[in-house]
Amino acid sequence: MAAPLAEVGRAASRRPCGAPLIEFRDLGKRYEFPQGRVVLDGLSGTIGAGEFLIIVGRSGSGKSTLLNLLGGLDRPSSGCVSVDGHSLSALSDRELTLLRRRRIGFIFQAYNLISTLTVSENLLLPLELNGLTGAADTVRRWLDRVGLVGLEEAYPDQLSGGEQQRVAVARALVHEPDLILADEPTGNLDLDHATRVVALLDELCRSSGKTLVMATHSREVAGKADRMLTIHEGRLLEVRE
Amino acid sequence: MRYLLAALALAVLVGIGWWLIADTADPDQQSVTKAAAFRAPEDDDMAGYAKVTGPRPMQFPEDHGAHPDYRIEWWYFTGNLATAQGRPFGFELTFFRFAMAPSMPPRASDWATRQMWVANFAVSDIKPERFRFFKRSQRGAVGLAGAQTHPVRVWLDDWQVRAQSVDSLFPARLQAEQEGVGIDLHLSSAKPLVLQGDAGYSRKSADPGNASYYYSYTRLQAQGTLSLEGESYPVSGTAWMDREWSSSVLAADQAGWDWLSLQLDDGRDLMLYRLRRRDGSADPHSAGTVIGKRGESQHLTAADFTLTPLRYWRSEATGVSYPVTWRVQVPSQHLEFDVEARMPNQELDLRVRYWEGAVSVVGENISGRGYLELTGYGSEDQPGAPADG
Amino acid sequence: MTQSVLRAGRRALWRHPVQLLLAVAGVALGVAVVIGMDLANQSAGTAMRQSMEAVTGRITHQIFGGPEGLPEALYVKLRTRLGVQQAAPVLAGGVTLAAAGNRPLTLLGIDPIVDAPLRGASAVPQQGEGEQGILQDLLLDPGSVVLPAEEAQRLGVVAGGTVTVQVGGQQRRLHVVAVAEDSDHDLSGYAFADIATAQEVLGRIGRLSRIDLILGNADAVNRVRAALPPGIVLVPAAARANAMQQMRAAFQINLTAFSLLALVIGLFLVFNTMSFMVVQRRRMIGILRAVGATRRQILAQVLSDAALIGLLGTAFGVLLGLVLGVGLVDLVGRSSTHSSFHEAIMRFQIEPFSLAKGFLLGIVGSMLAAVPPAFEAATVPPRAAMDRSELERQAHRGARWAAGFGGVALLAGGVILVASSGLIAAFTGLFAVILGASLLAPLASARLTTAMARLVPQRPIARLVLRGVAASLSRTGVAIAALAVAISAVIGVAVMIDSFRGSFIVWLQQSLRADFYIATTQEGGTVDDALAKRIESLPGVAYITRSRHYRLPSADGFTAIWALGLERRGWQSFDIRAGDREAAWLAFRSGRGVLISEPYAYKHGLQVGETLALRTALGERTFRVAGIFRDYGSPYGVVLIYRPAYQRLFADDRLSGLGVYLSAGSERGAVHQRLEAAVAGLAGVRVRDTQSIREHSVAVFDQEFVITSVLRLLAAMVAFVGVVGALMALQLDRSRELAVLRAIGFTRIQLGGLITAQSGVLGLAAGLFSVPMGLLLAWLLVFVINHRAFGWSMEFTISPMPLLEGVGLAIGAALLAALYPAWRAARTLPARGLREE
Repeated sequence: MAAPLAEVGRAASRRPCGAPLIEFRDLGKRYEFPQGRVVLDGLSGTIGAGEFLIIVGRSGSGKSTLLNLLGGLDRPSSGCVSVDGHSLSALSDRELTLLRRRRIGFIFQAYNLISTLTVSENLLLPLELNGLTGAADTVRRWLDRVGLVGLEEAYPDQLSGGEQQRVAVARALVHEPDLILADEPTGNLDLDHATRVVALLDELCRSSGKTLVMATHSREVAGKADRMLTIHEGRLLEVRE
Repeated sequence: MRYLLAALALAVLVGIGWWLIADTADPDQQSVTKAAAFRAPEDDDMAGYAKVTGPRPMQFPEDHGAHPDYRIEWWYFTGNLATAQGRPFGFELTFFRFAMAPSMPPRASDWATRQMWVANFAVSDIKPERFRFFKRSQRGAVGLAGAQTHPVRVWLDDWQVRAQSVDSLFPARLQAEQEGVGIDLHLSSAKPLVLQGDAGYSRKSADPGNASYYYSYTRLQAQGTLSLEGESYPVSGTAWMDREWSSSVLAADQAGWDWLSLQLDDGRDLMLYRLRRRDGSADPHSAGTVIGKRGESQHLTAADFTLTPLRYWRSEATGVSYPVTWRVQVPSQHLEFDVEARMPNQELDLRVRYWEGAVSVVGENISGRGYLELTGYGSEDQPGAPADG
Repeated sequence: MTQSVLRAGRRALWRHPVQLLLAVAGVALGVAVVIGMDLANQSAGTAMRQSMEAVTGRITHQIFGGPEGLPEALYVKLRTRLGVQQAAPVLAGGVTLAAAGNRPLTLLGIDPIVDAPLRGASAVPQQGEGEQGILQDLLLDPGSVVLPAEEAQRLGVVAGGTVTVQVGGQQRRLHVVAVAEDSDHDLSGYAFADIATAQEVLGRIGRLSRIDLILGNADAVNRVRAALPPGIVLVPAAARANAMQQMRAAFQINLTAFSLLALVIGLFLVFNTMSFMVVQRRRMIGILRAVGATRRQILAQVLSDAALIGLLGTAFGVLLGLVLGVGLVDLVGRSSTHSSFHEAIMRFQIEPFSLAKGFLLGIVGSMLAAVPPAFEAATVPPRAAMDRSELERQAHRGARWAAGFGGVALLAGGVILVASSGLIAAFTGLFAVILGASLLAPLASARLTTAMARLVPQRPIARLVLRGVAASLSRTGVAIAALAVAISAVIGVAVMIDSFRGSFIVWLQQSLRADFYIATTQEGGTVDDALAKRIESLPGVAYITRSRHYRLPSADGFTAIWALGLERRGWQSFDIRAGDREAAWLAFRSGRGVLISEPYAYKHGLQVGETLALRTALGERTFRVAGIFRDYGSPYGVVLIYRPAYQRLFADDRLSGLGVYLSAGSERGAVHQRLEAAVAGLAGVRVRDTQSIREHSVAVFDQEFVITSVLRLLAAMVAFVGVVGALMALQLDRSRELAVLRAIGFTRIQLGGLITAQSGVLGLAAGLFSVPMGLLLAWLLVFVINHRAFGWSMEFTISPMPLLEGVGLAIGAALLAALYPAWRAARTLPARGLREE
C-alpha cells in the first residue's frame, strides 16, 4: 500500500511540464433516481500538470460531478480516472484520502469553511493533517497572499462572502497540493469579486506550477484559462485551446 | 415486621372461620336451607345426644333456659308492630343453640365449649317494603352467649331477652340493634303458656325420635321503640314466642316445613305447620293448635286443616320461589281465610336460608296478623314450584 | 401556501428516517420512564396500603394492656354490655419445637367464630374440602392447631398428626387439625389455635394479648375508652399503620425520588427532541419565511410536526412505559422481603393519572417544547434564520438564560430546603435543585470546553473536538443537561447508600460490644431473670447486660421502650449525638432521665433538657431527655431507660435479652456451648454470636437497598439510551461538515475518531459537571430527605468509585452514541455529504 502512495505523493514536482497529470477515460455517472438519470456519459480526456483548465456548462450539465470524480469524492458508474497513471478506483479509501490530503485542494461554491474554527485554524487544518511544520508562518504567509491579514481570529460567519471564498482558496493551497479543484468558486460572488478570486487562483497556481481545474457556468471568468472544456447534458462538447 | 406477619397469618386463618359461618354466602355454593340444618345429621353422629321420645314434665322457669344435651334449641320471637300513626313493621329475633358435640372433657379455659350460638334479627319495614336482617354467631362461653334462668336471660352479645322478674319469663325486655336497625320492646303475655303437641311433645315424623319439645306464648303485648336509619319510632303490637328443643326434627324424606303463627282479631290464635315431603305432599305429622280467647288450647292434626299455596314470589337475590299467599281452612273451627305476606321480600339469605315474614289474615268475617315461616325451599329436595307466582 | 409549508415540514421528517426514529424514540423514552416509574410507585403504594389493610383489616382500634396483657372479661363486657359487635380477641405466645432443633413458634390464639367477619372476606382461603371440620376441631379438640405448610413439612406432620412443643419448660402435645397452604411462607413461625387452646397451652387462663376493634365514630371510641380500666389503653390502628408505613417509608421515598427524577429526565428528553427538530429546520424556516410564509404558518408547521412526533412517541412510550412498569413492579415485588406485599404489588394497576401524565408530557409537552424555538426561528429575519452563527449566538444567550434561571431555581430550592421542615417540601426543594443544577449544565459545559480549547491554540483538530460542544450549543445544550441529571442521580444515590452503609456499620461496631447476645426471637417474648443469674454465674462470663424491650401502648400508637441494666463501662456503646455524655449518664442512672434515639427526637420534636411523659403502671410520669443517641435499629424511635427504674415503674422484671461479656482469656467456643446449654428448652431463646448479628444486619441493610440500586441503574440506563439517541441525532446532523473534512483529507478513521472524540468530550463535560451535582444530590438525600423521613443522622462518605463510575458512564454513553454516526459518516461518499443541506 505504501509504495504507490509514496510515488503518487512525491513524483509530482519532478514531472515535466505538459505531461498529463490526470487522465480520464469513458467516464460515466448514473444516479439510480430518478429513472437512472445519466449525469455524465462517456467522457474522456487528459489534464496536464501545471495546466489551467476550465470546465463550463450550464447548471446541471455535470460539471460538479466531473470535478467530484476527478477529486475522488465520488465513484464513477463506469470508466476510470487515473492520477499519475494510478487508477483512483484501484486505490483504497485510505489511499484515496491521503491522495486528496496531500495533492489536491478543494474549493467549493458554498465556501464550506469549518464554522467552529477561526480563519487561521481553517488554514491550519490541512497543514496539521499533512503533518507539516512551521505552520504558523505558512498560515500568515497565505493570509497575506489572499489579503486577509488581521482576520486570523475571525470565525467564518463573521466574514463577507468574498472574504470567505478567499479563505477557502488559501485553505485549498496552503499545503501546496499539485492539483486544485474549484467547483463554481465564484458562484456566490459578484463579477468584481469573482474576477479577483479567479485572478488570485490563476496567479497562485501559475507561480507554483499547480494544476487548476475550475468548473464554472460563467465564461467571463474563463479568459485566463489554458484550455476550456464545455459539457452539455453529460457529454464533452468542445475542447478549446 | 413479625407482628405484621402474625396479623396477616391470622387473617388467613380466620378466613377458614369466615368460610364456615359467613353471613352472606354465595347462594349457589354455600347456602343451606334451614330445614337441612335442622335435619338429623347422618345417624351415627346422633349418638350421645339426648333424644326427644315422648312427653316429659316441663318445669319453669328452668325449661326457659338451655338444654345443652340436645343438639338444637331455639327461642323465637316474631311480631307485628305499628306506630301510633299506623306505620306497620314486622320483626323477628331468634336465638339458636347448636351443640357441636354430645359431650366435652373438662378444660381449663372458660372459652372451651361445645355450644355454638347463632341469632337472627330482622325488621320488615312494610310501607316502603324494605327488609333488613342480620345474623350473629358466638360461642356459648365466657358470657358471650347463652341462656340462664332466675331471672331468665337469653343473649348473644348485646342482643337479648331478659325477664323483668326472677321467676317468670314475662314481662320481659327484648333488645337487639345493629347498623342503626333496632328494637327495644317490653313484652307482656296476654295468655298463659301453651304446650304444643302432646303436653309439649311435638312429633314430626313416624319415627318417634324425630320430635321436639315445643311450647309457645301465642299472644304477647309488645310496646317500645323500633329504630331504623337513625329514626326511632314508638311502636306497639302483638308478638309470639316459640320455644323448641330437639336433637332431630326432620326425617330423611322431609324437605322442610311451612309454619304459621296467627293472631286473629276475634281473640283466637292459631299455629299450623305443614311438614313437606320431598315429593311435595304434606306429611301426616303436620299439626297445629288453636288457642281460645282465654288461652284454652286445642290440638289440630293434619286431618283437621288444609294449607294451600296460592301465589309464589321469586327472590331476585337467590332465585328461589316461596309461596307467600296461602288458603287456610280449618273446618272444625269454621275458619277459612287467606294469609298474605305483608310484603313479599322477607327472605333471610343467610347460610341457613329461609323466608320468615309478617303476614295478614284476609277473610270474609275475619282478619288478623301473624308470621309465616317457609323452610326447605330452593334446595335440591324442593319439589318443582312454579317458576313465578 | 399553508399546505406547502406543512408538506415541507412533513417531508423534512421523512427525509431523515433515522433522525425521525430518534425523535420518536426520545419522546417515547421520556414518556415511558415517567409512566413506568409512576406505575411502579403507585403499585407499590397500593400494595403497601393493601398489605396494611390486610394486617389491620378494617380494624380501626386496638386495646392493649400492660406487659401481662388484659383480662378476657373486658372483651365480654365490650360485646355484651357496650354492644361493641366488631371486636376480636387475640392471645399470642411463644412455644418451642423440640423436634425441629428447638425452633421457636408463635402460638396465635384467636376466636375463629368472630374473627373473619371482622377482618373482612379478603383473606378467604380457596381451600377445598375438609374445613367443615376444622372449626369444630379447633373449638372442641383441646390442643388442636393449624400449622402452615412449611412448618408441617419441617416437622414431617400432616393433618391429623401431632407435634410436641415445649412451653415454660413443659411438654405439650398438639394435634394438627389442618395444614394451611402457605406458598408465600407468610405463616412460617406460627401455629394457630382457638383462644381456649392458646390459653391452656400458654398457661394464660383468663388473659388476652389484645382486642382488635372496628369503631365507627368518635362516640363509640369515647364509650369504649371510658369503659377501660386503668392501665389498659385504646390505640388507633392508624397509629400502628403509621408505624408500619414508616417502616416501609424508605422504600416509597426511593420510588418517589426516582419518579421525580424520571420526570426531569423525561422532560429533558422530550424538550431535547423537539428543540433539536426545530433547530434542524431553521434554514428551511428562513427560506420559507423568505418566500413569504407567515409566522403563523411556520408555527403551524412546527407544531403539527411536533404533534406528530409527540403522538407517535407517546403511543410507543405508553406501551414501553407499561412494559417498564410491569418489569419494575415485578422487580420491586421480588426484592421485597414481604411476600404478601409482593402479591399485592403484582396486582399491577394502571392508574389513569399516570397515563394522563404520560400523555401530557408526550403530546402537549412536545408541542410546548417546540414553540419557543419555532417562535424564535419564525421571528428573526429570514436571513438570520438561515444563519448558523446567529443560531449559536441565540443558543449561548439561551444557555446564559437557562443558567440564570437555574441559579434562581437552585436558590429557591435552597430556600425551600432551609425554610421548610416537611418531607414534601424537601422533595420540592430537591426537585428545584436538580432542575436548577441541570440548567446550569449547558453553560458550564460550554465554558469548560471553551477553556480547554484555549489550552490547545493552533491545533485545529483538537480545537475542532473541544469547540464542538460550545460551538453547537443549540444542539448539545439540552442533551448535556439530560445526561448530567441522569449521571448525577447515579452518583448521588450511590454516595448516599455508601454514606448510610458506612455509618450503619460503624454504628453496629460501636453498639454491639458484647461477645454474645441472648434474645427471644418471638414477638414480645421474654425470659426470667433467673436465666440471667444462671448465665452470670457461668465460668468464662465476666458480666452481662440485662435488656427489656417493651412496646408501651400510648394514645397515638406505641412508644418503644428499651430498659437497659447498664453499667458505666457499657455507656461507651452509645453514640450520644446531643447532650453531655457525663451528665446524661448520671441522669440516666438516676432513673429520672431517659435517652431517646434520633428518630424519636425528630418525630416528637424533642431536645435535650425537655421532658416526655410515659404512662407507667404507677400512672403517668415525666422524664427528662438527658441525651439523644444514634440508633438505626428502629425507624420510629426508642426511649432508653435505666432498667431498675423501669422495673419499679412498670412492675415488670422480665427480660427480652442479655448481652454477655466474656472474661479475658476465656475460651469462646466453650462459653458458647455453656450458654447454649443454659437456654436449652426455653421457648424461642437463642444465643447469637455478635459477629453473626453484625453480618446479618449488614445483609438485611443491603437487601433493603437492592431496589434502590436497581432503580438507580434503571434511571441511568434510560438516560443513557435517551442521551445516546440525542447525541446520535446531533452527529447525524453534521453530514455536510463531515463531507468537507473528508474532502480536505480526513481519513475514515480520523473522521470516526473526530466524531467519537467530540461526543466523548460532551460526555466528559456532562460527567464532570454531574460530579458536584451528584454530590449535592447525595448531600440532600443524606442530610435533608433522610433526616426528614427518619430523623437519622449519618456521616457523609465519599469514595472515588461512584464518582468514577458516573463519569465513566457519561463518557460511555457519549462514545456509544458516536458509533453509528461515525460508521455512517465514514462510509458516505464525500460528494453525497456535500450535497446535503
